[in-house]
Formats: sequence, C-alpha cells, structure tokens
Amino acid sequence: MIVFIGSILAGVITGMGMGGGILLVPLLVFFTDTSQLGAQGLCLAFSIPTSALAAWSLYRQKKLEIACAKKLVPWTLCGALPGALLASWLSSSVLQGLFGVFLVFLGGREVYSFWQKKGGKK
Amino acid sequence: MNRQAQSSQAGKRKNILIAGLPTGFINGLLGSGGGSYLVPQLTRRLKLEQQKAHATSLIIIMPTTLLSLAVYLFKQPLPWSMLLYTIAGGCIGGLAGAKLLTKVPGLWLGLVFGIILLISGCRMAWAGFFG
Repeated sequence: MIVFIGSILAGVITGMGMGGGILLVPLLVFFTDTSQLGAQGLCLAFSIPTSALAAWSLYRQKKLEIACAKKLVPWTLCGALPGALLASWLSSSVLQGLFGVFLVFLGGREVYSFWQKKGGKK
Repeated sequence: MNRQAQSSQAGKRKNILIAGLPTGFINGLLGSGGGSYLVPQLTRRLKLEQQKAHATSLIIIMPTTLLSLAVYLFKQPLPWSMLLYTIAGGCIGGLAGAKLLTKVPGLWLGLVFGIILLISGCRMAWAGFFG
C-alpha cells in the first residue's frame, strides 16, 4: 500500500518533469526488501510507461521539441551503456551510497533554487 | 528571436554532447535522475523554455531507459508484482502531474521535494557507506 501511494506521488512529480522516479528508489530500499540494483531497475521500468503517458499529454499541448530530442538521444545512449554496466558491477552498498550522494546534491539544488526564486520576488 | 541560430555549429555540437552524455550515464548508473540533470541543460545550453525542456526530457529519457534496463536485466530480475503496483500508481500520478505542470508554478512543490531528497539522500549515503 505504501508502495502504491508512493508511486502516485512519484508519478505526479515525474509528470511535472522533476524526476519523481528518484523518490521510488529510497522508498523501495527502506520500506521493502528490494535490493539497490533491483530498486533502480524497477525505477527504470516504472519510468517508461509513466513518461510515455506524460509525454503524450504534453505532445497534445504542443510542448515537445522532437528535433532537439533526436539530436540528443544518440549521446544519452552512449552514456547509458557504461553507466548501466558500472551499476551492475558495483557492490550494492557502494551503489546505494553513490545514490544517496546524488540525492543530497539534487535536494540541495531544489532548496537552493527555492531560496533564489523566493528572494527574487521580494 | 532565434537564439539557436546565433551559436556556431561546433558550439551547438559541444552543448548537445555535454547535455547528452552525462544524462545517459546518470540514468544508467543510478536508474533515475537523468532528467534532473537534463532539464537545466536543455534550458541553459539549448535555450528551450522551461515547460518544453521538461516535456522534451521525457521523450529523450525513454529510449535511454530502455537500454539501461536491458543491461540491468542481465544481472538482476525485476520484482514484477511490485512493478505492477508502481506502474498503476505512476500512471495515475503521471497524468495528473502533466496536467498540473501547465497550471502550478511548482515553487513550493520544489521545496518540499528538495527536503525529501535531502533527508532520504543522507540516509542512503550513510547506510551505503557506513551501514
């Protein structure tokens, strides 16, 4: 049940383009017995249909830049291969630690940008 | 008007490389979060407006994710039953989120999201390196 509610929340954030899948991994690791790599894999599988739905909705609002995406995809694929190989090679705890550091960085960035925007309004 | 036309061809290629490669690497290594890197790159380097950058990042992430997932499956089978729950929840939330994206400024959501990330990030880093 906690997984289901968390998924709805993650979906909302994904749909808003903020990378909600990233919430799913700590949720799964802390509240279920999923391994780090399993949680990441699940998160990957999760993001395909949810992004597809969100993208379809945004496509109808004419927000997609297809030409730009076509140029970028070959490069993201070149990056994904070594990244995924490294992930399956690293030990679960090191991977979890790296993931945590990345989360702290992202969280810090969100909070920082909040301060900036808030300050700019005054 | 057209700021992209002003930058040189070589500069554009460099920008695409800097935006694309790390996005894929993060997506592959950590299973998520590629988009969190990609969106600001799209707005700053490739001069997309915010909402278009969000939308475009979603379709760039999809093929990238497929490749990462394929690599993962060699090592780790997926917890399929749990996946069904998360996808069901995610689809409901995803539709709502995409509709909200054009209406809500997202400032406060960003703060709450950021604090959740900070807390869970600290916990994970601690558990990973010292646990």
